[in-house]
Amino acid sequence: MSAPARRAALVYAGPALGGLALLPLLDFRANRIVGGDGVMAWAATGGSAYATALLAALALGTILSGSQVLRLALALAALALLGWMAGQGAEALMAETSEFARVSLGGGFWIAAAFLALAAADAAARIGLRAMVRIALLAGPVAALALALQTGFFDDLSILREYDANRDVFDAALAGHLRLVLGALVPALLIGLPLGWLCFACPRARAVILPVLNILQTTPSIAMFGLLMVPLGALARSYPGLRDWGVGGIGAAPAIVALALYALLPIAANTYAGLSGVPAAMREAGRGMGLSPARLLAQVELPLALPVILTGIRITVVQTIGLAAVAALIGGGGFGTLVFRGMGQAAMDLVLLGTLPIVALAIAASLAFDAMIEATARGEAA
Amino acid sequence: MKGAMIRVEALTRRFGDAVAVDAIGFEVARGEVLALVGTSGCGKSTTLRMINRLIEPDKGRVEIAGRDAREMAPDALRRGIGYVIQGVGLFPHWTVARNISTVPRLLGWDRSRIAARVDELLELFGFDPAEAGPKYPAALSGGQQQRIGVARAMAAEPEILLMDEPFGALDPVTRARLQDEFTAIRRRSGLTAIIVTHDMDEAFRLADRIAVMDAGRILQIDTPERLLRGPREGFVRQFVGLDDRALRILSLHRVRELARPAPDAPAPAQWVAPDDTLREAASRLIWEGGEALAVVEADRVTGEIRAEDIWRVGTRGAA
Repeated sequence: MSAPARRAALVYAGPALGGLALLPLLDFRANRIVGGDGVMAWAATGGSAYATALLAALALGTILSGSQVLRLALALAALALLGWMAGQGAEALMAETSEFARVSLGGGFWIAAAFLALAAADAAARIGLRAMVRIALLAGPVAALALALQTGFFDDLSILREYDANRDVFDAALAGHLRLVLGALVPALLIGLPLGWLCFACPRARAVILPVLNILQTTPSIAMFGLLMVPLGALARSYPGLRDWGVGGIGAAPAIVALALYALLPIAANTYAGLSGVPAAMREAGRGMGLSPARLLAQVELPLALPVILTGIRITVVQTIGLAAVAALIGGGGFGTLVFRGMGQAAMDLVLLGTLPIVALAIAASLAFDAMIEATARGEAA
Repeated sequence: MKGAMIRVEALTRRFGDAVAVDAIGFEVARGEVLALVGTSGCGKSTTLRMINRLIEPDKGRVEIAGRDAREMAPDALRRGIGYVIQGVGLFPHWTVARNISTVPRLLGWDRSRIAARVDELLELFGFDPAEAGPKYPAALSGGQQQRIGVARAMAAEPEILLMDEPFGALDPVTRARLQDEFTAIRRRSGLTAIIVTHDMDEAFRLADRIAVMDAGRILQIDTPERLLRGPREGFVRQFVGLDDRALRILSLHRVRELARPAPDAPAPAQWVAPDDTLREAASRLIWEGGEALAVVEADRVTGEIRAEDIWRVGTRGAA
């Protein structure tokens, strides 16, 4: 293994082990609200000295291993072991106490999990896997996690207790979040793509459109919600019929409008950049052979611009998934509901229950787009 | 000229205040190749692009095979005229075969006819259809891409080819090979062509007639030999280059034109072929220091060519 790769491995494995050494693997609390006692990874109850030693060995292996494939395998094995330790530890702790007690994941767990995941991702990137293979590779750990959740292995962890207690809220939040993202994305695409084309076809329009979208992009999201409340509220008052469609000063409608406005710039700007990146010779040749402007756009310009346009949509989707959390502030629903409710109740596990699915959605969307971008860029580089 | 394939009359185009093309007129006969030469910005490309209406003229008219180009829909007009540009402009997301089939597809040819035509063209330009057809343009060399560009322009069997610096971006060896290849193909297919170039040598190699342009006007339009023997004063004289005009005239003639009979014999060490140019024969004579060279075909002497005959061709006043 090359020296930079080894240094990178050190950067991941070091903090992972350091986190576990200094911070607790689990937090044990007598009930949901009181402060907790940290349980270190090697503790007699809830921890395991053998498992900790094995985990350390696996993490050190990622530094010493000569091949990236082995590094990837070691990092994934360490992640699995970490998950097992958390589930097992929670069960052991809960076996001795009342049902009001809570066991949540501690700082050591999160740091170790994050850095081991980074180590795995780094190794996968250095192998140079195509996006489709990366997706297939990710399916393994995801399936393992799903299986563990299904069989109730993690049921003693407080985050799943929270899930159990808030199942309806969680499902509504998931549906609400997806509605926000798709609701913003569809109009943003319908408006942003033609705007991008207009920027390309007409420089005078570009001089207006791009600066306006830039201003929209830099408006803070809370301010944007506030700005939209007034006109949308007025609209709903003047035409009460619109309320049946969810239009109003608060709720999902202003959130979706705001998210769509934020989505416009990356879509329009990348559409413009992609179209202007098509070499002039190709346009000239196409027109010279008798392709009409519409055919030239559909058969030559758009396909050649597609990787850049998809990159813009990818940015938009990931951005919207994250930003949609804020919509809960104005009653827009989504995972933000869980986050803000958790903050209000000082229940960190509820916050996590809202945050983790957002991260998972963003990663999934980003991987899917990577695969699409790779597929559309074929031929040119061949 | 009756039955001109392309006829241009008083064609004018302004860009802002600048006159790019100033009331020019010329005709190209069926099967003839005309070269438009001049420095950058002389209006030669603009003239070419007005013929297939990529640029609309301000004044004047273009006739294609006797029909006014304005009466035809621009896209339909362009589908009937092959167009080759310097950057080649092959579509990188399409295979070579798909690129060549662009215009036939637009014209709605059926699949089998398109496939047959693509294979025929690939063979004509020295490719193996099964091997080259499925490749993407990025996998080809510059010379190969330029060949495919010409093949694509010829795909729908147009009678006219417009070429803008078609071989400009190639190295000299590849360029010369493609020029010879193109000359052979256009002779066989009877194509009418207009070639825009700033390279006088390319014009001499490819064209039957040459139009020298400057500042939007045609200063002189003539056969290569007449242009060399009688260039107008000023720009034409300067652009054509008179230092080596005798040698250039020799390069326009072939050995077979001057070959005298000679007794049959095996080929000697030094000889020329009937299709070599007089320039090549002259060079060999100077190098060898002789008075005559054997003309050899298929390893047998079929005639001889004499230095005095060659010199006479390159002399002022000869024709």
